[in-house]
Order: sequence, then structure tokens, then C-alpha cells
Amino acid sequence: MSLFKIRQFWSSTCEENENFDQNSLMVASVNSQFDYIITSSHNGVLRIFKPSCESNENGIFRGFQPNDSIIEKIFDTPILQTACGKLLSGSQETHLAVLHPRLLTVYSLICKTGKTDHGNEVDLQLLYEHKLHRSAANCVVGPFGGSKNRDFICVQSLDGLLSFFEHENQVFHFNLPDFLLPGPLCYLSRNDCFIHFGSDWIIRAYRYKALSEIRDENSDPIYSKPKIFSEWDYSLGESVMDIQIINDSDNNNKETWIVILGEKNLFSLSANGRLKFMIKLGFCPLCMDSYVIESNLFTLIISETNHLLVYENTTLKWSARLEFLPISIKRAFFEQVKGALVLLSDEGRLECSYLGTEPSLFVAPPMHVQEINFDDAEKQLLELEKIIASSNSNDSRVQKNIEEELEVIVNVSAEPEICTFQHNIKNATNNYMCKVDVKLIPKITFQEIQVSIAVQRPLKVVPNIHFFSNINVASNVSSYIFLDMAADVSSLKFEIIVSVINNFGVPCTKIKSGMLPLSLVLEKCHPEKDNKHKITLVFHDASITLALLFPEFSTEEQSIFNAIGLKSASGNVGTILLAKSSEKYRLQSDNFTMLSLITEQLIIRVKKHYPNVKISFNSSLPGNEILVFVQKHFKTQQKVKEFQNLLLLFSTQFRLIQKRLISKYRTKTPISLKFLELLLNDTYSDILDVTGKLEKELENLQKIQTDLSCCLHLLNELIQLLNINDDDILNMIKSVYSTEIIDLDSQAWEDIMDVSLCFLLRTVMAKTEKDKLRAPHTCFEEIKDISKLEKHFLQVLERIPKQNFLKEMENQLDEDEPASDKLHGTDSFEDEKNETKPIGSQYGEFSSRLLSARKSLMRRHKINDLQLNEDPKDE
Amino acid sequence: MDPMYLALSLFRRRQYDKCVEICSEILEKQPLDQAVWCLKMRALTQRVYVDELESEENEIEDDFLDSNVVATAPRPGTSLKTPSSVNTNKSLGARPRTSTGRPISGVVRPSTSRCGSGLERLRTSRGSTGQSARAIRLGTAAILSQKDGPFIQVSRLNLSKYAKNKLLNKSIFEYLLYHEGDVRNAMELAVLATQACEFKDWWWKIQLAKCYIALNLVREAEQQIRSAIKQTPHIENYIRLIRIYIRIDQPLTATEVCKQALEIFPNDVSIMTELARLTEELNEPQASVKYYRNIVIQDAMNTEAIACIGMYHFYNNQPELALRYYRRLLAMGAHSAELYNNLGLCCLYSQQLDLTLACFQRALDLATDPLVKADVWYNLSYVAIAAGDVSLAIQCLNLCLCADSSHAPAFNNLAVLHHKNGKTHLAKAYLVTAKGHQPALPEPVFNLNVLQNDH
Repeated sequence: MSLFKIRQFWSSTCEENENFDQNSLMVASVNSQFDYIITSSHNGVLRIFKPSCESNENGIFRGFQPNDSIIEKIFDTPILQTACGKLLSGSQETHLAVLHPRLLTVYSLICKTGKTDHGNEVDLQLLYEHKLHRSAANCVVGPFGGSKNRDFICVQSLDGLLSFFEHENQVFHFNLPDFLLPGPLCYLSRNDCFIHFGSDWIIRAYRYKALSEIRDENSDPIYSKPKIFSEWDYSLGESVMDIQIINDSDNNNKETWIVILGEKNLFSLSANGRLKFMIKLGFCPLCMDSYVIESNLFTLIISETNHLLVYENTTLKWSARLEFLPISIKRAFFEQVKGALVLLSDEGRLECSYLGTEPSLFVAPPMHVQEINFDDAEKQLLELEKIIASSNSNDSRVQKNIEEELEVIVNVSAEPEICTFQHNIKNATNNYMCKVDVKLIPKITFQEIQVSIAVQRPLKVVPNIHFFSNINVASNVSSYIFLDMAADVSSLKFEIIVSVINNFGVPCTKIKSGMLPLSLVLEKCHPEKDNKHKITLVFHDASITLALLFPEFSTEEQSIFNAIGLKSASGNVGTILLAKSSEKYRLQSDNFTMLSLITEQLIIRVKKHYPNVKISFNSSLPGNEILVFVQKHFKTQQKVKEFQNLLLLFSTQFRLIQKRLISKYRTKTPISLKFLELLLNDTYSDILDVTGKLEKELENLQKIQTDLSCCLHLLNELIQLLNINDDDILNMIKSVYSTEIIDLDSQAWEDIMDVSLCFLLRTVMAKTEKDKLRAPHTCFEEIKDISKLEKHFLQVLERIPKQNFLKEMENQLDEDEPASDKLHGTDSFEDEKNETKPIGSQYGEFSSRLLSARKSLMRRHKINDLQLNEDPKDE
Repeated sequence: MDPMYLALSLFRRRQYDKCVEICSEILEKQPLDQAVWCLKMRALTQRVYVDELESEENEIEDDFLDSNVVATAPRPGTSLKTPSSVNTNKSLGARPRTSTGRPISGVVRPSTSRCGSGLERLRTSRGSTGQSARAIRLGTAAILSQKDGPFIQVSRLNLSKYAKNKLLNKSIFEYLLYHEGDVRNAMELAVLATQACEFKDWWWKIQLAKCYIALNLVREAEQQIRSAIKQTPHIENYIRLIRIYIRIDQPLTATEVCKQALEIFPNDVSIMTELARLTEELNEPQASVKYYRNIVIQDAMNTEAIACIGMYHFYNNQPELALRYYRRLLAMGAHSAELYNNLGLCCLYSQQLDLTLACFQRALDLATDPLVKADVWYNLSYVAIAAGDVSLAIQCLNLCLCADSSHAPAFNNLAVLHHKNGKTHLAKAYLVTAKGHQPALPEPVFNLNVLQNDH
């Protein structure tokens, strides 16, 4: 974020693959009036530039000239740093010190002025060199010990050894105490102190005199660890990028700043280690340079986001964008340009720049907007507005019947295929699946169409939901239905629910049903002679051979047979026997659940041939057989509840332990949490254990649910045959024996069943008037004792064939209905909703179907639970 | 060249990945080299470092487990949690408020969540100088994979031994906290280390406070920071203390701390920013803008301050002045949908109609976030109303609702427009919806009352 951009007027780049660091750039006026730029790369190349900065006629700088580069020297070893000072005894000239990893050399820069315009001859002359015992890190040059007109060199090695050199002599070594990583080292001439940043993130000042005295006391300076007391120290609390020492010599007050660039803040200390000021930097700094103008400290900081920021003390004076990311910045005075910024990048891009004052304003990229023809646009707008207006007002069209607009064709393939989906059946014989094609032919565009296919367990559909959006052409979807468990199937019927949102945003639904082929779940086997459970059906005036009825199981060799055995995935066998020269069929099996499917299939298939056939079932309804399964279901349900309670207990315990753990964790003094951890682990394993058991029991429950559903389906089929004339009562009874077994958390199947049965017994099936007067059930209660339910169950089954229903019940029901309408004022809404069923969740639909099946029953009891699905918010 | 020097140089140049590589190479040869080990640790830490002062999630919400609450029913003006009743109606509409009733700020800060929408929302994203460090949750950093298992087995670290090593302990602490995200072990180290240095190093107190804050032990953290400040004044420490007081909902104490800090660090931008935000939250826009002006004098590139001053002028009926501030932001390169949106609104209200649509066009082009898009359309409806085109305004509001279906002010305005067209029942329905989406918004409640009194 800046208004300005830095303006470059001179630049030079080095060879490829050279590396530079912060110390690689030096700007110094080596025996000259103006500054030289000295760069030294890690690859051992030393370059000295003297930018001429000549401007042409228009006042524009000419940039880099070949003459500007005055020396380029390649060394064998990398150069870590260059420094300059009065490094030759008896000479007032400035000399150049070059630091290699194991060598310190001092050169003098000899400049011979050329006689012609061809330029000057410059050479580096080696004065002396020192071999270093340890790998060097950095060096500092200064008049140590307060010497006048003489500069000495101090080299810091990578492992913390300070070596001092007084010109050609190596004076002494000093081992820095508590040393880990080499940090910046500076010399503060005013106090004759070395400022060192230690690995413990504390700035320390060591007096040169103290260092040299310790040398005298110790015989072996390299390996001994002398005690030294720092002059002062300052805990910085963060790592340091750079330290610079600025002396304001112009003024009388002779101020000194120690400028420290930390990773997050900029600090300025006084010469005795007091904080002068600090700035919290909102960016990552890379490098800095400081100088003083009129006793104000100016600091240039380069941020990682390519910006140069100029601070005067703590105030941001300027900020400018940079073209590249430098790692070192210095200020230089040239003949033509005073105070130019010298920037050096990581890979050797060297630039001299100035802060331009002309703002480089941000220019947004141009937009691609077409020229608008206003007449056309107005016409278009009017048209669009017309469409919008008509779409909102035309509400009557919205309600149009969906039957006309969307045609749904369901096609079930007769030949089962080998199942390719994963299922839970162990034995592979019943490994078939059946393809169901649904063809959607929309007459208009629909916003969204969802096709869901519902089957009863143990069948499974993959995928069970198809979704389309913005559909207006015919399209096909196909799903596969297969057996998921080795259990008996109650019915082969399946439902396809098409939920639609048309393009006015109105939801509708359409339901279709289909029949799966028998061969999907059953296979032919040898018929059994005698079985436990038998059902005899009489088809009046209709006798068809079994071969005709079950063409898929008849073979050519055996075209006429009187018995057929059918085997399901669970291994149960059902047999259909045709009595000779009679219209009696006997269905028999050892497993009661098996009878459901074959009864259903037999009736459907006979009815196909003789649509108006009269079927009769003369024996009593199989109540006791069903009760066996009811008891089983009840027991399993109890077990599930028991495990659920146990799980509740354990998880409460777990949470308690967690809470305790947190409160322990929060205490100021950390204490051992081993015991709580033990408890936590123990409870956790308990939870896992119970969860495993619960899962197993739930699986059991599922199995029993399907078995029970088979039984109830059979019951429904048989009741259908009992010649009950009254459709209302038939529907009522059938809805009680719904094949959907649902065990909710708060309400088991038995609970609902008992209430429904009681209702039947007290109303339509009441034996005496007295029964009717008994207080009706007003709420669902949890069944604790199964025997009552069993009694009711058998009672109802007993009374159904007798048909001694009290006829006046009907009238009463009729009277009741308007009354209940008054009670629930929202019923008018409800009716609307039934027409256009909202696309609700699968669950919502599921439960509403269950509830609506019993709606007529519930009305009597005036149970307000039914209003669950309604949303009175619309009022 | 010495590989150690190279590693140090790479670390300085912020090439942490390469630095880690070289350190690993050296460590293979000399596994016990502490200096290299330390450098590698520092590089790994720096690679994932996030300044927690920038990224702190400072949610002020009711937490039933919060045991640090001072008063359950604070007096007016002493809490950031209770909505203030100050509500001045101006011709440009009241300044929008968040769903909790606080005034909406001019910038999106890491700690302000975008909940609730208001009238004419004026927001600009924070500039890049504000650092992009968004809350990477501490601890996720540890996912960054290392080739052969973790660099340091934290469970095998002898904390009591390293706590006494003052060369290593700070690096190890930062590694534990930022790289591993292991607050508990870090805290244990901090406790041992601060004992080892005899409570003389303020740095350890601050680190201890960081750990306490992470564990929600706010009062203990406050103690530590206060003690550290007594030892060494440091801007960050003051900011931490301010944040703590905001966290325990003591804005007046926080303001007090700000003023103390400004005595030691006069004109410091970061502290003044805290103070300005705080006063803004406390519903004192004049004071807040005064601080923001001071910030701009110190740091003319502070986008947050410029945006907030601009917004202040806008809601003070000086759209021309606001326009100048926003144009400055644009010149600095804040090229965002929000800014163009604000520019468009300023142009609209300062009668520079030729620029209004161009600004909004750009805002729409740049808006990718549906919420921002909804706001732009919402504001465009004002342009349409200003032009007297009610049907266009309705379309704009409908488009706004397409992008953000819970935009309560849009529902409210739609209701007003429909009411003008004579559709009272529809208006009523829209008002109820608006009230449902944002109960704190005063307009729908007021309008509903008016409608009820009419009929």
C-alpha cells in the first residue's frame, strides 16, 4: 500500500548463480570525496563501483556506464564481509579489509588518474593478511581502546571466539561466554564498548578494556571460559536482524543511537542501554539503514512485502513500493546525487535509486463494459419487467396438476443380474440384483426433480435418490435393487416417489409403485411334504396349474406339477401345493416369515389370470405364530434400551472426567494428570465395549423387524380375504397392522400397537356398549408388560372374522370429523399441504405416512401430536 | 564456505526451507551440534510463525463456562456486550450495527466477525501492511510434514534440563508453542524457565501469559503481564494487557491501560489503533476519529485509520470528505469491491451522479463473495430510490436477497417499497421476515408498529 514508487537511476547486475547477504554491500568513501559501492559475493567476487551519474541534456540520468565499474576481482574463497578503516600503521589513508571464512586480508586501493579521457587505473594491493583458526562469521572495524587515527579489526567466529587484530599483529582472543549462534556485533566508540546480541536474546555491552584485561589473566585464552561482566544488558525478547550504531557528531550534545531491527519491532537504545523509543512493525522487516539529520534519527526499513518505509524517529515519513526485494540497503553520496539509496538483492541486482515525489497512482484495470444502446436497453428492460410481473401474478397456473406435466414410466427388468454391489449376505447363491428404470418425460421445464425409490428391508436400492435440476427433456435413470441381508422379504412391491419443484417454485410429488421379479429373492427347490405352518386358500372357479402361475420356475421336462418349493436367501423353504382337481392351494413352510411373500405372489398371480376371482380363507388368523415374533421383537427392544442406558451412563461419566481434567489442566502449577488419564481411558474402553454390543443388538433388532414385517404383511393379506364389506373398517384394521416397523427412541412399535389395538377394541370392535364407555387412551405409554399387548392382539384377531362391529360407529365418526376441524384451526392449511406435499426430508415423509395412516384413529383421541408437521408461522 | 555460515545466511534471508535442509545435512554428520539444532528449530518455527496479536480471535460472546465475567448486568457504557441504546437518526440513516448492537467498523479486522448486516455497510479490507496473517490455528502448523518423523520428540524432551539452559530455552519454547502447538508442555517449560532465571526475565512472564490466555486463564495472564510491564515497558506487552481487558469485558480499564502506554510510548500507532477501536466499540465516534487522525499523522499509510475516518465523515453527513479519504485508499492500491461500493455511495450522496454507477459497476465486477454482492445490490437500490425508480429498487433488493437470503435490511426496505405500492399484507410479511432474521434491527420493529396502528 503506497502512493509512491522508488525511482531507479543506476543499476548493475552480476553473473548468474552468485549469492549475496546483508554484509555483502558496503558504501564507503575510500580516500575519495565521494562514495564507492563495494559488493562482495559469497562466490568470491569483489566489485567496486563508482557510479558517474551523469545526466544528458534533458536532465535524465544515463544509468550504468562501463567506466562506473572500477574493479572486479575474483578470489578463490568466498567473501563474507568487507570493511574499511585506517588499517595500516603510520598511514592516514583508508584501507579495505576483506573477510574470508579462514582468512582476513587488508588491501589498499591505489588509484592512478589517467592522463586521457580513457579513465583511471585502479588496483588493489595486498598489505597484509591474517590466517584465522576458526571459521569467521563477521567482523567489525573501529578505534578500539580509544586510539586516535588508528583502526583495529575484531573478527567473530562461528563458535563465539573474538579475535582482535591491531594492524599486522594479532593481539588477543576472547571467548564469548554463553555462546550458541553468532549474532550481530557492533562497536560503540563513545563508550569503547562492543554491542553483542547473544543467543539468549539479550543485548550486551562489553567494555574493550575489560576484554583485554581478561586476556592478561588467562594463559590459555582460546579454551578457557573467563567470567566477564557486561557493562549493561537489555532483554529484547526477540531475535535480531541487524544492529547499527549512529553517532550524531554534528551537534554539540553528541547523541548516540543504537538502532536494533528485531523480527517484529524496531528498537532504539541510548549508549547506556536505555530504551529511547520503539516501533511495532506491522510487517516482516528484511534490512535497514539509519542516519541522523538535525538530531532526528531516520531509519530506512525494507519490508518483506516489497516496500521501503522511512521513519523519522517513530513517525512514518514516506513509504514507497520497490520493484524487487533487496537484502541490503545503504545510503551513498555521489558527485551528482547526494543521499542516493543503494539496494542489493539476494542474487546480485544492484541499484541506485531515489524516492520519487510524483505519485504513481494506482490505475485500476479497464472494465469490459459494452456500450449500451439506450433505446434497445429500454425495450429489453420493459420486456423483462413484463415477464417478471407476469411470473409473480400468475399464481393459479402454478397449482396445475402435475400428472399432466410429468410422465413417469417405471420399467422393471424381468431378468435379475449378478449383483455387483456390496451387501451383507454371506452365501453367494442369492447374489442377484434387479434393474429398475425410471423414465421421466417432462412437458415443461422443471426447476428440480428428485426421484427416490423406497423398498422395505432387507431389500436395498442403489442409488436410492436421483436428482435433476432445470430439466426439460426426457431422461432415464436406473437403480439396482438387491437383497442386503439374508432374511425373508415381506413384499416385492416398491415405491417410486418423484418430488418436483416446477419453475414457479411450487413443490409437488407423484408416487408410483412397481413389482420386483420373484426370482430376485427366491429360487426353486425341492418341495417339502409336511411343514409346521400351513395356510389353505380357496380360489373359487379358478384353477390354474402351478406351471402357469410360476412360469419362471417351470422347466420343459416337468411342465405339470402339483407342488413347488421355493427357497429364500435365508435358507427357508416354502412350498405351494395344489390339491388335485380342486381349487385349493396350500402354502406351507417351517418358517412363518416365508409364507408372506409366497401368499402375496400367489394371490397376485392368480388375480392376473382371473381378475374377479373370489378367494376365501377359512381357518382362523395365525395370531399365536405372530406373537412369537412380537415377543422376540419386544425382548430385543428391551435389550437395546438397556445398552442405550448403559451408554448414557458411561458417556456422562466420560464428560465428568473430561471436565475434571480441564479444571485440573487450568491450574497454575502443572500437576500430574496420570490418574485422570487412566480413568478417562478406562471409561473410553467401556464406552467402546457397550457401543459394540449395542451395534450388534441393533442389527438383531433390524432382523427381527423384517421378520415381524413379514408376519404383518401376511396378516394383512389374509384379512383382505376375510370379506369385510366395510372399506373404512378394513382400512382401519390394515393401517393398524402396518408393515412398517419403526422403533423410535422414545416410542417402540409395541407402544403404538397397543394403543391402536385398544382403540379398535373399544370402538369398532366393541362387544358391548360398556366397552365404549371406558376412558380412551389419551397418550402413548411405554409398554412394560407384553402380556397385555398379546391379549389385545389375539382379541382383535378373534373379532375380525366375526364382523360384529357396531354399525353406528360409522355415524359417530362422521359426526366427529367436523368437530375436530373446529378444534384445529389450521386444518384448512393442512388440506392444502396434502395436495402439494412439500419436499421434506425422507424421514419426515416416512413418519407422516405412518401418522396419516392412523389419522382417523387419532382424531378420536384428539391428540394434538398430529399437528407436528404443521407450521402455524404462515398465519 | 562453511555450511553453518550458509545456513545462518539463509536463515537471515528468510529462506527457511533451504536453511532446514542444510541444517539437517549438518546434523547427519554431527548429530550433537547444539548450534545447528537450535538454528533448525528456529527455522522450523519461523516457517509457521503467526503473530498471535494479529490473528487473535477476540470473540465477545456469552460463554456459560466463562468464569472470568466480572458483572452479569454491567452499567451502561462499561461493557462491550450489552447493546447501547444510543441511536441518533440522521438523514443518511443511522450507522449500521452488528447483530449484537455494536457499531459496525470501517474495516474488517481479524477479530471482527462478519455477523449481522447493516444499513449501507462501509467496509474496506485491511491493507497488506496489516499483514495477511489470518488465524491459522496454532497447532495445525504441526501438520507440516518432515521426512523422517518429527524433528523433536516432545515427550522425550527433558524440560527441566532445558529450562535451565538459557541459550536454548527460548527457542525451544517458541518451537513448542508455534510449531508443535503444544501449549501444555510449553507452559511447563515457561514455568520452569521463569523459576530458573529467578523471575528476572520479563520475556518468560509474557510467554507464560500467552499460555494462560490459550488456556483461558485470563486473570493469571493479567498478573504476569502486569509484572512484566513493571520490569520492561514494551509495546506488545501493553497491547496484550489491553486485549485481556477487552476479553474480560472491561473496556474502561483497557482504555486506562492504553493511556498509560501512550505516556511511555507517545504517539505509538499500534496502541493508538487499539484505543481508537475501543472507543469506536464504546460508541464514541468523535473520540475514536480523533485517535484515528492522530494515527494518520504518525503513519499516513494506515489504511484502517483512513477507512474509519472516511466512514465517520460519511455518517456525519459529509460524503464529500468521505470521498476524499476513500479516493486516497484507492490511490494506494486497495482495489476491492467494498471500496468501490463505498466510493459509489459517497458519489451518490455528494451528487456526483456520473461516477456513481461506474463505481457500482466495478464493485459488482469485483464482488465474488455473495455477502458482498448482496450489499452492493442493496446499496444500488438506494441509487434507484434516489432516481425515483421504485420498480428498479425492488429489483435491486430482490437481487440482493438472491445473493444473501437473510439480509434483514433488504427485507425491511422491500416492505416499505411494497407498502408504498399499496401491498400492505406483503409489506407486513416482509417486515416479519426482517425481524426474524435480525431482531436487533430497529427499523422493522418500528415499521411493524406503524402498520399495526394504522389498521
